[in-house]
Amino acid sequence: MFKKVLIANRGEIACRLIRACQQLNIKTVAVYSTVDKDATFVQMADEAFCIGSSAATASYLNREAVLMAGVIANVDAIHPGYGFLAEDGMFVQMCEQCGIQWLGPRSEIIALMGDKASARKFAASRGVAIIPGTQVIDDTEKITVAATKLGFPLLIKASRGGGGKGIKKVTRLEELDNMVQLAKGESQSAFANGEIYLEKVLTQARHIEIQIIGDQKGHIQILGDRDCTLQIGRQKVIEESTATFITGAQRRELGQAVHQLLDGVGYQGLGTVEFLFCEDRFYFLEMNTRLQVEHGVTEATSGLDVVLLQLQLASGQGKIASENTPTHSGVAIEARITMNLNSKEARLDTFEVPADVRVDTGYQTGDKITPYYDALLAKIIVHGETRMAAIQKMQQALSEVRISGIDTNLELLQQIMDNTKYQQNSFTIETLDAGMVKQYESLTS
Amino acid sequence: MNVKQINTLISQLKKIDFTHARIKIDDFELEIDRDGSEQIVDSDTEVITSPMIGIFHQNEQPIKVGDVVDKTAVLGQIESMKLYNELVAGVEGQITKVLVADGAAVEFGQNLFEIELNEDI
Repeated sequence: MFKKVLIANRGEIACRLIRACQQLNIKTVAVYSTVDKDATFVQMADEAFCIGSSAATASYLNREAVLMAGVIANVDAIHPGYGFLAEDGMFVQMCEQCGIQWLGPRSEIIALMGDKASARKFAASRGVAIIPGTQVIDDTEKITVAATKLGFPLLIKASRGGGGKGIKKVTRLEELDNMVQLAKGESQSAFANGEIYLEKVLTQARHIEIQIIGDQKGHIQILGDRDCTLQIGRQKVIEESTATFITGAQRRELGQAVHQLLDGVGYQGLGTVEFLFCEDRFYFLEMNTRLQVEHGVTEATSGLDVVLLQLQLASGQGKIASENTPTHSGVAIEARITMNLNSKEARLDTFEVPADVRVDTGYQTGDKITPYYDALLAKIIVHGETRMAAIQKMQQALSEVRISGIDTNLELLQQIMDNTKYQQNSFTIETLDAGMVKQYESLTS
Repeated sequence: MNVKQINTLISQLKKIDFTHARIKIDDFELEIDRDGSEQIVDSDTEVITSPMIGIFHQNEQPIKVGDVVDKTAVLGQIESMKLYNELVAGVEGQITKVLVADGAAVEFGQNLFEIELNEDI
């Protein structure tokens, strides 16, 4: 087993990773920016190094600084969490060169899946259905021809986007040229790569994703599926495990597609394969080669600790049963409490959460809230025998949350739980954006 | 109160040992909190901090207390991922404290040297 692991992240996920390491008696090293000096995760770690100033590019995205902390502290491995350097192929190579084990797949697989156009191509080559669309396309005339063939509305996606970023919707042919130029420009500035491709808009679709883990030999085990259909502006708001809108036969079909995609690839560590489900068919959307924000719901229904399992497998201990999916009982729901970050600093004057449900957070009462990083305040995770029982638990849990000092989406989450369409499991990826609940307008501005 | 007056007030306050102060002059109100452990540093002293995480390497002729340095003086090197980065004084004056040892790991922002500034700056 590892002796010491560097946590290359902050906030709730850093806290969660440190706890898993503590359970395995692994020493932890935190890295932090100047504004996170007093953060919970810094206090929890055995050692901590200030690696730069507040802007993420100067600290959490600063490859040399993060790695230097690992070298100084003499760590065996680095866990990236999600975001920041989690899908940075170059950082993975640098870790390899320093003899520090990367807790994730090889850099080539990260690069393959990180480029969404190449991931589509790869999935198609493995016989997995992809959303109708094009490969990387540049020529204006070819774009017009392809777009006309696909029909409108359609999506222009940045190859280096993903996670709901770098997407433009085009509703009419007349808008196409302008939107393509806009998309290329934005993609160039956001991802330092202007490549785009076209994709058909799947209407009335649901988002379903499969949590997998690979051992050091690349054997893949499916750990469960999640329904992450409820999104605002392509960002997930509510996640459930397991997905209750598919049948057992459909679940087997999905599992087969995932094995088809990843068997023999040599995938190591945690990963999530995302699909859209539309008119009884599954379409490969993208693969995230890392731990995901919403992994907790899979843990709640399977009883597994996926990070613990990852650490054990990565250190060469433990085995996986690639044929079996763990049994899941009941339904788990996660609600993401996010903050409305202004440019100004705020203070979390009150922050109380119920003690009888799982709450993953990196914050406590009195913490300063800075505008530099993501807006996630806490994840509330509940588990019930049935979906309705879980909803009732979430309603209860949310009613016990007390927050002051900063605006959050708490009211929106409560309205979703009280919403009839939600309770009837009757919604699509567009439902929240289309005004499922009245809070929506004020919370997305 | 104008900005200049506020700045003067704050620099005067720096010399006094306190953790919390509330000052009210007519319509003007100022509340200052200060970390109690923080050292009180004279305003004519410049603290040189580390611009990065790394390993500090002293010069062949190590900088010591009493040395007089100019703006371009190299106080040492900070090694990060096998790259050596010169630590340049940036100010003129006399070294009053050396807070780092040769070969020590230093964090971003860590205090390394204190320099008493020349009067004419």
